[in-house]
Amino acid sequence: MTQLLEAKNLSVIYRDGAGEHIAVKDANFKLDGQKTALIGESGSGKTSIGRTLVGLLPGSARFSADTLRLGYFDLTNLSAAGWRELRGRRIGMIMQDPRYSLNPGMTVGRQIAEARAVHFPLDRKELREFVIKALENVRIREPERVAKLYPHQISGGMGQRAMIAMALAAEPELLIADEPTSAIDAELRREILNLLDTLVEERDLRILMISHDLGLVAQFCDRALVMKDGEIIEDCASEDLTSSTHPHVRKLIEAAPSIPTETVEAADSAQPVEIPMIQVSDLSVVFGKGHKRVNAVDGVSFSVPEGGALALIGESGSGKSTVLMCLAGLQAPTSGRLDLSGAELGARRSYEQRRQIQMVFQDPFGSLHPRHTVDVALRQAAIGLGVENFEASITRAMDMARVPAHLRFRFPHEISGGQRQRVALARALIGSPRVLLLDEPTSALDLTTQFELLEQLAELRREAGLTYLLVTHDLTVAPILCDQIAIMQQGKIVEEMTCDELVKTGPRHPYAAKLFELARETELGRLHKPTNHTPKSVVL
Amino acid sequence: MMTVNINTHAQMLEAQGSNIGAHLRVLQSSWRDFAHNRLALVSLAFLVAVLLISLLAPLIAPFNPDAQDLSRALKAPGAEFLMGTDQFGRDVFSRLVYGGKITLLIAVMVGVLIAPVGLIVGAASGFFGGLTDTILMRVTDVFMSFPGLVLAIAFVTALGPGLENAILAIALTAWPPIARLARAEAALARRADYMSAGFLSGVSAMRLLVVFVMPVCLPSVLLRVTLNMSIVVITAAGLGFLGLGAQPPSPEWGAMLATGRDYMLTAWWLPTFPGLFIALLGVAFSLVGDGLRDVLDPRS
Repeated sequence: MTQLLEAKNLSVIYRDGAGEHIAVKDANFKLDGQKTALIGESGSGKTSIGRTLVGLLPGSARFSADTLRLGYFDLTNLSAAGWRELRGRRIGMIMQDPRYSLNPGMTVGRQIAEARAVHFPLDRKELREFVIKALENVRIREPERVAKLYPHQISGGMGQRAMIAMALAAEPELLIADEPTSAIDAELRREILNLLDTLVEERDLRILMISHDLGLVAQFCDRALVMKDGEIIEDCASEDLTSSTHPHVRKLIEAAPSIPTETVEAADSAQPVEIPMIQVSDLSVVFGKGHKRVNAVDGVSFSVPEGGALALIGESGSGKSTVLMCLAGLQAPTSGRLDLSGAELGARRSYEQRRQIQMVFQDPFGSLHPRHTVDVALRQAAIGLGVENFEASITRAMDMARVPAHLRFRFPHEISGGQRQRVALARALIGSPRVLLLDEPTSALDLTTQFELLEQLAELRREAGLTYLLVTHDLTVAPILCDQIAIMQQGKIVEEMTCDELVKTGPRHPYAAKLFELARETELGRLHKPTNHTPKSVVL
Repeated sequence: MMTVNINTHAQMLEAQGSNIGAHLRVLQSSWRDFAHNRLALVSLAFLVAVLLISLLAPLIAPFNPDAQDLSRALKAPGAEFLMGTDQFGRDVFSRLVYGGKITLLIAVMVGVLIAPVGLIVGAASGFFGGLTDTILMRVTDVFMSFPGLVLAIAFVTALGPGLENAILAIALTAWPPIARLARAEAALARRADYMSAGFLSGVSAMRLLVVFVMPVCLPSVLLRVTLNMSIVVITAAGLGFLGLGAQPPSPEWGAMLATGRDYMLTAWWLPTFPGLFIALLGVAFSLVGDGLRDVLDPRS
């Protein structure tokens, strides 16, 4: 196969008032396969490479290279007109989140037409026909209707398809996909990857997929480039990834999500406890009135024993987060009863109850005050909870959450995502709670960071005898932390089982079984036995 | 010189570890960013120079600003009188040097009055929402529905002409946009997870308002106040021009411009120099504000 893209000694350097930051250092690579993956954690420079190839580096960044060639285009020395010819026509790009990358003020159809019209002079009628065809090609049903819709009127999965249609409108040779599936859930992920796969087959298209999910791309792509700290540390065929000897690649492999073959520990809380730590009875939450009425939570009951851990699993909109918000006291239940250790949790809570039940939020950027240092954040929580001896409790909480001591007087923007989440954990721990509510605590983090934090949370639960209620859409996370899972769909719990059962027999309820199958599919573990691969349709 | 001092101090404090040290560290990097904006830096230097000159006026001004001498009235700018003399023979340059203090005083006093009012009204409105929000914002809307200068003129006329009343009148017209701005920031902050976390930790509503919401609103409020200063300077000059601000013989720049207007055709220097300085001061405040925006904007 001809080499579509070749880079020799490509470096990308960011300059600001404070100095220089080398994002990419002497990277050498070729794209000769059909589907190439560029893997790395955030900050590894993978996105900088993607942006260099389309000339979208921010103003503070410069790149240099001995060779950077796409087909007959020399990217090191390209005029503005050259870049315009290149973008769209030779390289298309799809971004992470369709909600932010489509123009909210233009219909989907017009945006696709625009992308086509830039490179191909067509009249109105031809353009309209093209748009319908383009939407059909990305398997959108009712293309005539969808073409007239605005981005906010379509779902995330459809948005991502529209983005792909736009990126392919001018028939580029190379499609750069920057984390194309990280903003959508597992079910859609498979559809999008299937679609990309078909498109590769149908038209002579190459894909460069940028991702932090080694398991995912290793399955999808045939060649893998692994980056760390701006350098390419591994360049091999995807199926050889698992036999790589590079320590960082090993670390990424270890962190790849998979459903464990056995549960970490059988619940040491197995002995029957008379009063459950958390008791939720017939909880319902209704949003809106009249025809806009939504039963977000519809008669949910469950209990968690002291020291136990339950995972509520479901897709977005299943009501799992609302249950958590009710327990936290951030959302008033419409009906039903909540008990904490035998005492009712009402709208007004005693200090003691507040102290016992704490929460870690999903987004480590949003859950810490931008103008509070770690110390201030912890101190405010200590004041609010009436903790005595601030100094000692702050040190203790930082210790338990493993926040390094030197971060104590840093602002949130000065520390990494994983560390921020640890600070949020420390804040939750400062009043010595008995229950921790975990709202997708790791989903915003890199996989390796996710893995470390999960291990730590599991250890913390064992050591401090905490009770966990975890909300997640990721089946692979639950067995690491929890001994029980409850699967929610449309406001109801549709299946309850122990993690042991989950791992050994899998769920029975069709929806849960589908989730389970999807989680299995992207497991890296399957790479070990390639003979099990049945072609395309199943493996993506 | 200044950077070096902050630098070593911040490092010293960080070695010990403290929240003040952390704030100084951020301040230092903000200053570094600000210093990159040449135009803003020059404007800041100009403002500092005006401040120093008006504070040291007795040492700098060659003449007593109020000393009249009709024998030397309306002299053109020259070696003896740098910017000429007015109809009473007072030295224009000396009067400008003394008058800077008044104009700066108005700008700073208005800022000191409106920043806390705007911040408190806006933050409370956005944070509490509901009825509090409705009441506070309707009041704000009433103030905003009149052009600022017209409203200020009405206030001064009602309160009686004079410097203090001019300051009060300008402050009364200048706080609503700031409250609006603070409200928008507070309403955004209210929905943030860190507010939920604070609530979960049992932090009281008052503390949430003061410790959590206000620091988020503060940068945009400070920025707005600084950008507003240029308008305040112009409004103050306008009031002085109409005879509603500082009263003669006070050498307030607007008042000087107003009296100079009568002699515009025969003695061009009378309105020109006060007008030039008012314009320069307004531009300087606005450029410093622009520089601050780049540094303080929480979205960047």
